[in-house]
Amino acid sequence: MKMWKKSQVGDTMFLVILLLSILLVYFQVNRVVRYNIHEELNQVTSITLGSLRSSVDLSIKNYLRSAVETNKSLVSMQYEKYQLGLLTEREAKRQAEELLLSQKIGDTGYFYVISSEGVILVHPKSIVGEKLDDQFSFAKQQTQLKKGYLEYMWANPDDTIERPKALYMDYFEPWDWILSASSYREEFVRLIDPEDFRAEIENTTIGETGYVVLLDAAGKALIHPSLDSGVDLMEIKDARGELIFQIILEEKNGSVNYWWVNPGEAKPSEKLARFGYYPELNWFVMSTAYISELERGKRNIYLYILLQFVVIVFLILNFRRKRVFETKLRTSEEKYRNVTENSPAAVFQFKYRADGSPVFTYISEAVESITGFKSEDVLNEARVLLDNVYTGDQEAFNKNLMVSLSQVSNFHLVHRFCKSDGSIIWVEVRATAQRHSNKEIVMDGFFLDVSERKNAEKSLKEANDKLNALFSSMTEMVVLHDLVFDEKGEVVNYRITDCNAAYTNITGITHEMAVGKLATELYGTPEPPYLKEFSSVALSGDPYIYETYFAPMEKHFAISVVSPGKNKFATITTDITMMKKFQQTIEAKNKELEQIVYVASHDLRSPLVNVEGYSQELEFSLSDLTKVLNNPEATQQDIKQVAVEVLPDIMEAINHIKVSTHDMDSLLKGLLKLSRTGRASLNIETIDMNYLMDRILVTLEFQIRQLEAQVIVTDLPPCKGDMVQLTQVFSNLIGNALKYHDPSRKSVVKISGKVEFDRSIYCVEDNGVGIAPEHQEIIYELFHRLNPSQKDGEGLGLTIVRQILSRLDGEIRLESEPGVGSKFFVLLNHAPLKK
Amino acid sequence: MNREVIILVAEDNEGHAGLIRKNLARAGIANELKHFKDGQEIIDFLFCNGDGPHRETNQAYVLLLDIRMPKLDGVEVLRRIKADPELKKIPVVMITTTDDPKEVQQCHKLGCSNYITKPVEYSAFVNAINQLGLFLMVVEIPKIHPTDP
Repeated sequence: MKMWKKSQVGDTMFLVILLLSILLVYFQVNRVVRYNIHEELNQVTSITLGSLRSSVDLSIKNYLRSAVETNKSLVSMQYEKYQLGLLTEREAKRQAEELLLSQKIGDTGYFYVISSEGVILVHPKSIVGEKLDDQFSFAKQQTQLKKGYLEYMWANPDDTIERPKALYMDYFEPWDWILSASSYREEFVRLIDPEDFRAEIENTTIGETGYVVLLDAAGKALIHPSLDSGVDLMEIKDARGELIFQIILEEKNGSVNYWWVNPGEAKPSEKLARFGYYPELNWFVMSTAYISELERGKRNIYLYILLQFVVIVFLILNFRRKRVFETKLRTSEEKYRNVTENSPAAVFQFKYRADGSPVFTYISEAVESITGFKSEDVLNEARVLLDNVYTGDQEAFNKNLMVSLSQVSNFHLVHRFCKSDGSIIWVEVRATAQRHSNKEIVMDGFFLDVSERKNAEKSLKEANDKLNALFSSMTEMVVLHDLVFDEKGEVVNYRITDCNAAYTNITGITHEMAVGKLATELYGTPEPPYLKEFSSVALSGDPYIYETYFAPMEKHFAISVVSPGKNKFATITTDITMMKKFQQTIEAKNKELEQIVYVASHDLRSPLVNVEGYSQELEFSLSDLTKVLNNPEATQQDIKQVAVEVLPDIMEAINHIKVSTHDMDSLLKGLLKLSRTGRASLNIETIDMNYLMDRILVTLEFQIRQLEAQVIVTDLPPCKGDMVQLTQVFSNLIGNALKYHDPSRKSVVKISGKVEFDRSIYCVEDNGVGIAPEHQEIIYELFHRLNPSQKDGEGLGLTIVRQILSRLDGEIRLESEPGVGSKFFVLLNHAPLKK
Repeated sequence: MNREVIILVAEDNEGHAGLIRKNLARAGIANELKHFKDGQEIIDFLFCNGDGPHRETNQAYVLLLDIRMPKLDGVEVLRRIKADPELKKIPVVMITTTDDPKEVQQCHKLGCSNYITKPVEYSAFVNAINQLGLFLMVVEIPKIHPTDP
């Protein structure tokens, strides 16, 4: 029994056998030289028989091995389909089983699969699930070795006698499958082609004219140096009329002397034939030579045998590396061909010829269904396939091919291919390069259409890319989290698993800083923010939306919390600061409008009440007068008395009516002025406040001089605003500072400015009467005047100031103490002066 | 008619004050009448602040209070009076140009006794003042004692 652990070891073993054979030959040749011509012929015969035997061994082993390896790659393809999700594992296995069981090895051989525990998984005859009986020695070896070649004696259940059986196995680890192919040796006989031995046999000479003949059991020549194969030898007689070949067929092993007339000679010479039988093939080998030549060439036999041996080695190597593989593919039985041909993968063998031209030495029919090119065409011209690799993938393809060939390594590439109809498909090619004895590098492999998988991958990738682009280009901050539980199963924290660019832009926290961190670590808080709300979203899946103000950034955020999966949640945070600001602006505007409506109803009705009331009073007075005038009994004195009584009332009434109409007029004018200020178009530019203040002070010069007031102006920073509007603001403020001075002291007005962050802040400070805290808000109210009786004015100044500042994105603030003075602060956006 | 009651009128508009005075007289109410030109003045009088006139102890007062006034508005004055344990006994009648329900509600909540809208329709105003006269006649006006310091 022979066995090889691995194919490489097999090669080594093969060389060892060759080496042993060399020794054997050397020994034998020596013997031949030492002994007689009988022995010399004996050796030629037995060496030829031995070479037959080793050829059979090799071809059986190679046949089984290639069958197993091809099937292993098919099984592996099934496994890949399962991995890609195209099939369930059960279905993938079932299809693989079906494939294996559909094949036969020889007439009675078959595939079977056992696990590394020896349990039968796939078997055409035995019961699946049972353990292979340990008493069979090969069973133990199978589970121990998992890979390699075994021979053992075996009788199939329907056979009675044990016959030698050959087995090759390989291990498919993902499924724990020991994939085995076994058959009776004798069934491989058909694989052996006598032509394979022609060169060896024809090159063997014994003496000058001796030769070797190979014949079958029917006495037909298989190989004969001068006769065609198939010629019946049975009737050939020697010079004495002996049927030499009949003797050979009868005796099987032995020798015979006979007489033969050499061509060109008159009388026959004695020849000696030595013959042997090779039962497995049912072939006979005969070597024959003239006894005279043998004696003559005795000294040269050593040389001849050596020569013959070299030829054998060459033949065997050739046989093994090239012919066996080709023989296997060309002459292998139908079943095996069916597997290859029915496989969705195109199996091929490929190489470069010595002249550098590429050639497919084999390609299965599947090539047509995949590429649209016929296998004949591909076999005729390899470029049919090579040139149709998609242009964009040519470079990668050629590079991989060159690397694989130059390094004798595996080739694996998924690339696009133009089918014969012009459509483009994705193919996956897997091949193994091997260096054959003649230094030729041959690639064995297969390729298959993976467009479906590739397209699925592509659309998946596209969808993924789209989501990724959306994720990273969103202006909303998106952060993904996983809940973190303690050993009791309580949610205690959450971990950031991803965040987008907006999150980094807004918070300044990079992806690297955030991902993998616990909330408490990242935000530096003792408790994870909003843990209760977030965990309820992640556990229930119900979304949660809230708004929050983040003081350190002075920003308002709207946060939607959604759960993309169990124990996961995502926060989508929108910066709504601008929205909030608009909201506030709108609220302020509404308030202003409300106030105007309020004023309209209060202040405008107020004079009307007077007009109506005093008109009525006038009527009363007039009716008193009329009454006395119409009384015939009334004396001149009476009339005069009534007139004196009612005249002041009439005067008073008329006065009130006049004042009220005047009030009404000024109120309406004021409203118009306010409305005009609110609608005035703004010309926003950088304002040189020093220049603006100089101009204002020029216009107020008369007032200042009259009051003998002191006005101190320090250097003022520039700001963004409207020249006209800001002139009005500061004229008003400075005017008020002068107007509400304290008569008991000299009026001092200080105007100063500074820059804080992005704001220019101006202060108009006076030492006037001041404003009580309770009045500090209502001074801005429309038509509101603190002392209507004392100072003239329409109660519009500060209302307009505030309105202008609100339009210029500014603010006004007040600090004041009654009896000490007031400080009005004006805040505007800072802008550097253009130089 | 409780002759001792002094009617306090807090009204910034001279014309309105005059009309009120005339109509009260025409309704037959001849009580003494004191006029204040803004919220600050009436507060100073009642709380005895500043240099101006101060209220007298053991004197009964009724306050007719305008809402829109300079410095302190009527609502604020009402709030302060009603916050004082002694002063809150003073009946306060709001007299205003609007009948804004929000404002009416606010004043009632603060504890005003009555609320009169100054109507442009003069007969209605006269009617309102007459009502005020009736109100003054049926309600017993408490005397105000010194506020505890």
